[in-house]
Amino acid sequence: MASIFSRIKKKLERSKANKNWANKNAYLISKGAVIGKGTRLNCNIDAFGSEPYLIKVGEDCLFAAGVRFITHDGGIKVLKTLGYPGMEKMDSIAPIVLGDNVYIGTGAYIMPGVHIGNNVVVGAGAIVTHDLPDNVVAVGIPAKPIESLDEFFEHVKAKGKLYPTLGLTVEEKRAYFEKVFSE
Amino acid sequence: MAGLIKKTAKKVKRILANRDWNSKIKYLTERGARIGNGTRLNCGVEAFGTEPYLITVGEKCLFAADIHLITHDGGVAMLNFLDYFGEQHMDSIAPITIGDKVYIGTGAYVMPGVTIGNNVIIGAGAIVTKDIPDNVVAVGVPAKPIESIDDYCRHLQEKGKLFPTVGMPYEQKRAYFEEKFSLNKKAAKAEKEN
Repeated sequence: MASIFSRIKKKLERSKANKNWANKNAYLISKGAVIGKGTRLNCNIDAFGSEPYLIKVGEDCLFAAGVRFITHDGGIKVLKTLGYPGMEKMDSIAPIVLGDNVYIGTGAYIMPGVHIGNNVVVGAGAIVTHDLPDNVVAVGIPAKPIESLDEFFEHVKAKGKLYPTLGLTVEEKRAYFEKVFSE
Repeated sequence: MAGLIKKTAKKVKRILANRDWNSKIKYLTERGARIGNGTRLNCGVEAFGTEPYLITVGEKCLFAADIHLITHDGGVAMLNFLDYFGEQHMDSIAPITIGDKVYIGTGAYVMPGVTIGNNVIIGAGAIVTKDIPDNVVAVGVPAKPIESIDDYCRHLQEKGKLFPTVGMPYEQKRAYFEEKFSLNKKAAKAEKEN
């Protein structure tokens, strides 16, 4: 019975933490994560996995929904079960360190030990297995830099997908786009 | 109203099934899945999809969160709409067989008809479209074997990512790693200097 109560308490704590950006950051920082000022999590706190104290994030980052930081390699379980020498007490673990101004696209995974530089865009669904340098866009499985931020800027402009709708309310934005695309 | 009660009952059943390892296995076994002894599911029962009775899992496997074992190809619906098979509409289905001591990393998908051997590690986010032999690590889209598990063991030791923290309670583990990597200490120091 007591375990049910503690479980429900934990669940409530988590759902409260997921309520808004400030709550998410506060919860994760209390669990030992380092999160810089201005960083916004559109993913929920589950993204930080079972060892949030192994994750360091710089300032002004933005993480989309479904992102996951994986700080341990569970595959070592197979070696343990097979009785490889010296493995039975071992965890395979490495911290993740992110620079400032990093955007991580929806559904991307960051693997153990990865360091990401400053001003980086990680594409949706990418799996980042190796370090990424500063000022790049990296996509794919495994994630590889495909262009610099300057090239990204040129491409975004050239594609004609840019609209001055930042800060509009949902209704204003809907009206704006319904007009743009009905023409 | 009756429909709503039925739906709610189903949901509650699922939530209860997902509460621990034993109840997940019980729920799936009742629905026809064959799951060996010592297999642990960190994923929810949803991972087994709509046809759990088409899935066979060996002993001592471990499945991470958010994996999916897909036993049907939904794309055939398009052909059905277009009457490719005449009046009789078809399902495209194939069973999945997973051997003993298999680890499946978070977010991986195993596709219809795939057989995975014994002692296999599937990387996070992999999409397994073809059979995987025994004793390998397979990653990527589509998943391909990249090394034997002997090589995997050697690489782990070389990389220095191994720590003797298995079985530690959460707080002790946190203290151990905070000391080891001092991610926090640096932050605390920087804050003080500011």
